[in-house]
Amino acid sequence: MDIFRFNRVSYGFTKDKPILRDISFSIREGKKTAIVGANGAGKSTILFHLNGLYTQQQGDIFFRNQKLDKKLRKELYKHVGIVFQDPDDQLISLTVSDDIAFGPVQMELSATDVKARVEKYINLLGIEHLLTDNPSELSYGQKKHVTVAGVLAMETDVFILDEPMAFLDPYGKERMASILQLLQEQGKTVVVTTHDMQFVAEWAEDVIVIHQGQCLGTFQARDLFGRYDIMKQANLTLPPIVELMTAIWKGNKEEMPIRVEEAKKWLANII
Amino acid sequence: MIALPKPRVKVVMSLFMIILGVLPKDLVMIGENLVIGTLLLLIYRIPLRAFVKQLKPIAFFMLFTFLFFPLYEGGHGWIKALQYSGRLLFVAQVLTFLFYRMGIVPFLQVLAELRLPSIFIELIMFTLRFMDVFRGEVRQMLLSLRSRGFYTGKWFQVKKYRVLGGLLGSLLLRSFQRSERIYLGMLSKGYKGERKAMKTEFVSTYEWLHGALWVGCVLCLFFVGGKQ
Repeated sequence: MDIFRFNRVSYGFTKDKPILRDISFSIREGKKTAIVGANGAGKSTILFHLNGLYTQQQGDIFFRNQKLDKKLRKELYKHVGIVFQDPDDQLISLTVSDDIAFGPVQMELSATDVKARVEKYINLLGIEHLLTDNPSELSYGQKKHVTVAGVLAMETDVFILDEPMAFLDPYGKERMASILQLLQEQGKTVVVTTHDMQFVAEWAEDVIVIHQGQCLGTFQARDLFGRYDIMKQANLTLPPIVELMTAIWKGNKEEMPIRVEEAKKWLANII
Repeated sequence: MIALPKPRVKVVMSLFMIILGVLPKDLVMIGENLVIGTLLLLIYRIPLRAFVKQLKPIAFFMLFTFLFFPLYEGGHGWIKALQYSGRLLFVAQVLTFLFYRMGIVPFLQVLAELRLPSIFIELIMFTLRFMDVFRGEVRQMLLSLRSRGFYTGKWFQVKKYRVLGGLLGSLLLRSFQRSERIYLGMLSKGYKGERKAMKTEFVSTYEWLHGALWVGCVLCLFFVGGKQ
């Protein structure tokens, strides 16, 4: 079942420079979806529409087959949580605990529930020691973890992350990957935008390709890597593993390893 | 050692004490208020350094009153300087008590619990948050300038003013844009123009009486002093 459906949606800050142009695609419920495209393709703008922060100028957006109107858009934050690319844009409060509690408080949860959620997610993210710190004084990675904890604490059905791996160190990336894994286990719909094609290969079930505000199609990662025309048009490059395997793979293209573990296993077998 | 009252009691009693403490003009009454203020700090074992920290921002103003009033008003000026400085000192004592082991966030929380208009609390919170944003942007821009050979040590050269003018302009624009994005961040978490207070903490009658006792002391002094 589609949780989101975009039907010929257009949006722009000015009329002569549209960011999204007559764009149509769907996002499946409970699936891991990656939105890929070059800088300025309109990926973040799409995410802001998914959370109801932006209102399309033309076309329709459907959430669980219900057309997004003003009323539903205002309530969308209860179903869709979004983590911005730059954590500084999302840190609102003067202490970490207050910032994580912000969403649950807006959802009018009881003080006990808010406290329980703050505790649960600071433990999950391993940021217990930052609880009373001022978020603006933290490192980039710590800030990112605080914003993720803040959105996780809202326990929404859909979880959106704008470039979740950008600027994180290997440890931060590992932790982020484990959070995404956890969300998958909980059956949540997860949508991410990314430039990291290896991450797409490892993680995504559906890949939506955006180019200059238009959707070039929704693919399985394996299929997309075989579509050189689409990759070239969207200014995307193959992940290193796929590039290596394309050069040496002689068998059926559909069985070619695209993930690191798959490639390691295959190489171990033939050497 | 007597435990510090709960934040809500602290805020209410401090506000009353400050209001009553700045009203008297009689130096004896001001002195007696200072004694109460000192007792307040001693009884709750508030460290001296916390009081000294509060004193720092007002020390210059106190010094100014002792320089300005005697010069401007002659002999009577000393009394006026003592009045202003004494009141300020008392306010500093009460503020030390108020903010000892209580940050700005619990303070704002208490204001929300006391049903102060939301707009008032939000203005304080956003001002503080905006100061952080502004400071962060200044830091980034100065780093960027320095990375390309511009040093703050040379600010007072006339030819640098053009660069600094540009910096100020773009600083305002950048801060404004950042604030807009932070606002989007708030909307994404369901903010609807009103910051909701979390459920309030129960405060017993005993706690309120505890606070009322201190306010009562200052109030008694005010009336007794007024009849003299």
